[in-house]
Amino acid sequence: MNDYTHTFTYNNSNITMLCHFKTDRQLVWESQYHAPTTDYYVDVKGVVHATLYREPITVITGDCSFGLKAKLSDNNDPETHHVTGAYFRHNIDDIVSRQFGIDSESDQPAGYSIPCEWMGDLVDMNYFDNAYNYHVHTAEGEDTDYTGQYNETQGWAALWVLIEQFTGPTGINNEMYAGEVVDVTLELTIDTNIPIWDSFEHMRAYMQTGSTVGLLNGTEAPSMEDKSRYYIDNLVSNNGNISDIREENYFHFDGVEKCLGFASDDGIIATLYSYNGGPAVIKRSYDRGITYEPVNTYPTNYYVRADLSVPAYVITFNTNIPFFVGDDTDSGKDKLDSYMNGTPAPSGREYSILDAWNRSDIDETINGVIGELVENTTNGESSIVYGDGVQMFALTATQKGAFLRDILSGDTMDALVDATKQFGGGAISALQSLRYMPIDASEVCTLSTATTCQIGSYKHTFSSAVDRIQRNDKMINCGQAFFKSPYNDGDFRNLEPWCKLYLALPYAGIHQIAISKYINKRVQIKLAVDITTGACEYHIYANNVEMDSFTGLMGTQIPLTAEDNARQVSGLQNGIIQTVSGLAQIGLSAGATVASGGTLTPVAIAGGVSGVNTMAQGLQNMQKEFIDAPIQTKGASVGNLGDFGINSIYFIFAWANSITPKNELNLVGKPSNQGGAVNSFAGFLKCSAFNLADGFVGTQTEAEEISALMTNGVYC
Amino acid sequence: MQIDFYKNATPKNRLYRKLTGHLVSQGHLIDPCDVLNPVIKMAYNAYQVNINYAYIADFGRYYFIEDYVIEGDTITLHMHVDVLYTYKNTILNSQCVAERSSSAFSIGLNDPFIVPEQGYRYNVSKFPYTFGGANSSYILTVTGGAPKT
Repeated sequence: MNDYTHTFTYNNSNITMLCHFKTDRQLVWESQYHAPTTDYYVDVKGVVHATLYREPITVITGDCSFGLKAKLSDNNDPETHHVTGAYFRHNIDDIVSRQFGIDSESDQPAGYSIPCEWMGDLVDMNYFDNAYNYHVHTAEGEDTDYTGQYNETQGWAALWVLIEQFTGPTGINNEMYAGEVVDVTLELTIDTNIPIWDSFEHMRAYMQTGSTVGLLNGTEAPSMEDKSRYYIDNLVSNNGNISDIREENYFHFDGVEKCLGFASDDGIIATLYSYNGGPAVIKRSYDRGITYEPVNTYPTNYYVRADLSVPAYVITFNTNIPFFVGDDTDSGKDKLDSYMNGTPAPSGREYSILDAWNRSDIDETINGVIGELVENTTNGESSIVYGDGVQMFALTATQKGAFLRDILSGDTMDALVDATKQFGGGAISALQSLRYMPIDASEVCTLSTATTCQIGSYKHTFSSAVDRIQRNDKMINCGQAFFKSPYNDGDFRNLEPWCKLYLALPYAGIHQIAISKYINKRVQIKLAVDITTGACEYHIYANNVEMDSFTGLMGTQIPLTAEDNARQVSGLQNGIIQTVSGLAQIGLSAGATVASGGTLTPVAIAGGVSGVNTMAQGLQNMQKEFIDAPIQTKGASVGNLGDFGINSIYFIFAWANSITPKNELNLVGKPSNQGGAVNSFAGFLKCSAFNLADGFVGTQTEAEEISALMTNGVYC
Repeated sequence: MQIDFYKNATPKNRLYRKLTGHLVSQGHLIDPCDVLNPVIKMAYNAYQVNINYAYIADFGRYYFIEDYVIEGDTITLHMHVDVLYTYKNTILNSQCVAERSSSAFSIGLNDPFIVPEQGYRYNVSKFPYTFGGANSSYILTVTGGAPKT
């Protein structure tokens, strides 16, 4: 959502428009050159708050909405029918309707004037929303409701007249406060596919250079290629002998997998066959693949290269649709059928995509395999069983509080001490740890129910049944989503340094990950948590294959605070506290690393080892503390800074906006690095290498001039 | 020697030409002539200032007329060979590696004509799982034997 504030004065009133533009709708970009293939769409939701400075002071609140679609008629003419975009007009203290313009030739206000009339004749405007609902409240307590619909008859004149109806002379607002001093705040949420600019100058700059500076409701610059699905570039070029002929055919097919296939027996004429219901959408381009328009039919036969009967034609044929060429074994159609249907061809052979003539255009294969190829990786699981000897419990906050109250009460402590005396001491050391985990233990553990626990030789009965951890054997599925490439598939701008992808992981920091691993793949994140230490590890998958993993620490050790005036008990408690402190150091070391945005480093691991040593030291000191410890209250005051960090997984996608000259393809082409005869290229051609064919009868000077021209660029 | 004059409406860096206004003149060489850059002097005809292209069959070459000099009733044409159109068939059959092309290109290659603006913009998206809050537990770990019976 992009925000933009537009202020202006009207009729002694101050009007502030807080505009929130939704950015997830695909904009109609090329409309200045070609009639768009989609409806114009505008949906505005407004909240109005106005204060009238009169007696009594009157407050107007309400909501209003307006939506319309504009569909081009069949009688469209790309030369005259277009809406390039809308823009906010500045420094114009005039009627409100002139705060907006939609012209592309000059700075013109919205209204009934040119260029708006065409819409009245050729556009079928369909309103789907034009309701308002205002509530007027005066200081004296009078309340009046205004409910109705905006005037539809003016909507056809200009898309932005609807804004005028919120605030302008024909609007319901004006009906209530015309001529009076008023402050109006109009908060609008605008969902539209028409590019909206912050000024006329910026809209003009877009038209002239393609710059998207000042665009309020979109982010991505217009793209020149549209080959995200099946495509055919079939270009029949002119040449010197037929100078007036130039036919270009670009088709774009949207369809399911294996819906289209080419078959040819001579490699010259190819027939396009449809399978599995055929193409859902067929579009044709008249501007070399810049824009596409729907067509009802498509040719099924294509020339792949020049037919010998018309050798003057230069043909470029390029497609990512599987293309099978027949040979002595099977015909092209039989091969295609075999591939599409998964059945053997008449020869008995079953054909795969690797047999396609253009397989490198479809799924380029490359060596570099070590071991067996797999489509997914596998993860193991912990087989540790927490049973007798070591017991772990998952407590709620209430259960935790009850447990601490019970275990630290005088009676229980006495019982613990008695048990210690009876069994030779050490029973209290059996209280190993209490750790806060920001996850539901049932998501990572197999649980059962227990009413008692065994602390050393002391049996404690919980005040209510609690969850007992049997196994730490699950991973949390944190979510999955498809990472769609921001530009067309294969565009170099999809990767670093044009685009960067970061992954912000709670308790594990922010990491940059390689886009190439995840682009156009289903990305899934699973989380494994070691319930005994609080360590965690994120597993990042692309199409079920683990590509990255990051470790962190999410457990927070709870300091167990002693409260006793008995010297002996205090000593016991200090033993516990030192034990806990030792464990907490693990968290402190790793926590500091996580807080700095890093991962669990060897330094943190070393801290963990140190913490374990401290824990052991605490246990050794317990007996000494039993005798000498002062009466005091101690706590291991350590917290996990990770709890103050993000609490969800975020992907941060950074991208550099790019500017593509609109005439690039025709003027200077695009990077190619493809080889072949000159007659296999059409349009602009700049050669990095050129070798004159045999039979050249000119001079060396002429040969050098030809080479120079070809390397500087020519138009074929 | 016959010279075929034309009006050429296509720029030099095309492999094709659109030729109109065909005019034929006859003459013969009286001075030494550079075949690649011939200078032809002939009787002046007002139409000749409207032509910019020529074909000399004896030389087997097409020429751009790059300059005119009118002197009395004669006109001197300075011409340069059009290698692209003269040898177009050879060129079309020649092998090349395309650095840039309008018809056969790869959008995966870095394109210096696409220029980034300064700085980055950011989209932040989120996975649904939320840590803490209702999703939290207190893990108690104890050691001990089975309850004594």
